[in-house]
Amino acid sequence: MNEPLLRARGLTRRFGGLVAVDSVTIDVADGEVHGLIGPNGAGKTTLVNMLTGVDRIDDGSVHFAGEETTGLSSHKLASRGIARSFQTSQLFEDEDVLANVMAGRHRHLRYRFPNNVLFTPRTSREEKASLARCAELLETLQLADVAHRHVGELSYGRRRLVEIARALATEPRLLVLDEPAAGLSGADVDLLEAVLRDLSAAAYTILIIEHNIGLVMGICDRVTVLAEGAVLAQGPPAEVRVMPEVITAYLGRSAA
Amino acid sequence: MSTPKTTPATPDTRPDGPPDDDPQPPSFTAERHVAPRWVRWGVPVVLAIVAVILPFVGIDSAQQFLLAYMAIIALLAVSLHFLMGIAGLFSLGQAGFFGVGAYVGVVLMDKLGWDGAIALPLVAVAGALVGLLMALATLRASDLYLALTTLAFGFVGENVVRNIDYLGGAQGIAGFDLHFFGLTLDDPLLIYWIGLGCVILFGVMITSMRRSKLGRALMAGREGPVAARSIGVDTGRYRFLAFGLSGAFAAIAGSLYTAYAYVLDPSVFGLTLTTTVLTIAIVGGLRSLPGVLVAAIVLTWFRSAVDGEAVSEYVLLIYAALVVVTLLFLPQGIGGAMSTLVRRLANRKGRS
Repeated sequence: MNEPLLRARGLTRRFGGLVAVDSVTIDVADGEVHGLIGPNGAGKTTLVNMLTGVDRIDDGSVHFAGEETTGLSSHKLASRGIARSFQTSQLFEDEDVLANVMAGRHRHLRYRFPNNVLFTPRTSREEKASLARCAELLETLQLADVAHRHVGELSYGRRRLVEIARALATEPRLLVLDEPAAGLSGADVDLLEAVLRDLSAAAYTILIIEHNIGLVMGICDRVTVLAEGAVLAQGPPAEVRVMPEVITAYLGRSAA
Repeated sequence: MSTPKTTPATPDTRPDGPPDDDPQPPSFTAERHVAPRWVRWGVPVVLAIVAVILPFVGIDSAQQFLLAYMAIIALLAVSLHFLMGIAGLFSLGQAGFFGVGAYVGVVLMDKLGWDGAIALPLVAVAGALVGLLMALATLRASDLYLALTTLAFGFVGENVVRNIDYLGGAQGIAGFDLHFFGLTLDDPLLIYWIGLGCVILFGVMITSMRRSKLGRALMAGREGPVAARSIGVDTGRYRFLAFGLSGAFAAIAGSLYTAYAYVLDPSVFGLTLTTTVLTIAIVGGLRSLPGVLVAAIVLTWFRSAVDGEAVSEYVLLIYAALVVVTLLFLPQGIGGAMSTLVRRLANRKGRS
């Protein structure tokens, strides 16, 4: 097997006496859809925050695309190609959908001073190219009709999609999604699943935290199960799903 | 544990897509505009030309001085609009930049006798450096803490110059010999044109930025720093940029003010000026450049019109009342009201 795109070794995060993430080792291979599941409080979001530079790493190492990235800040990881969505949506509330998604193009707009303070033909050319790409993304995520609406006016499900569109606008090598289906209606979940399948087919690498087991089983190539901050099981979803310890962790001891 | 049946993926919606009511694919523009292109470009250009040739219509000396003062205040207000409205950094430090610009300008142009053509850019550099220092000092502060730290810069500046004899101490300095491209910089119209030129340059820069990468990075940092960093925006870096650029133009305003007032004392660092531009920015609408300019002109005119009347004692009280009224009834300020009006007019025209 080749070097995985993301390789984390012994990741640990302590909050006071509580060990939220306890020497977690996880590999995400290039092109796979990797599920991160586990009961509430298992440390999934903390782990993802550590991997994306939002939270500190107390111990352990992370390699991304062959280079050590341990402890790099969020924006540096983003410019190396890690994009993410957040569990509680973090949109630019006072702006419209298109402005939100266009902001994601940040690292691909190469023009510099003076093109960024005086709208020159070069600025215009690059902006148009980015705009075209964003229009494409909005079509894909079925957001084109609300491109000029403020994100605050959108339904919950569409807000989640805007966040994914913004992350995709950065053309990430690794897309990290923190519970994208939480709170979504059935139709929106179907749309999300179709979108994720398309992305997977287009060879995107995705790390996804999700509680919707149907979605996880449907799209993930491999899953990692976290419980109480530690890795409980790793493997293809069909195998992991029947492991007794996983069932115990989810449903409690008496069900096993 | 039941084996959840994996739902078959809905067929790819991209190639044929849902039935479209509109046969035309939606055409994308970066912003949705109600006004046609020639209006958006034509109106500012015409107004700028009018502003430049305004002095030639034959106005008296008092009106010339009023124009110069308006240009100075407008420049300072626009610097606050950029820092607070666009970058979202709540600053009470504009008077700090203004005072530094005033004193650096006098030292360079009067004490050292340099021409304004060289000195004013250096004043801008000095203002930018103070801005960078302010950004460094407030890197981890936000909201009220940020505002209070920036406020401290004004106080520090005031007390530093008060204790330096070279800069005139508490009495200040009066009567300068300032030049700009060889012309004596005591002509209010020259001050007006320099100030206006800076307002136009800064306005063009802000408008360009808002349509491009830089403006979106500032917007992202303002609306959600965590999300901004997650898409690769180094929010700290843009904070430096916002403070630096705002400081540069505010410092030029301070320099022009010394030429206008012909005296310079530590009160240029004072709180009155900060409250004045804050009022202008809020009443004009923090995010709106046209709104801030209108408010700068109207409030400066008002202040000069009541000068010498009994009301002039209460100008700050009136400003405070204006802020309260604006926040209650026009949270987006004059700028917000203007764009609502334009939109309504456009809708009415579209229907008829």
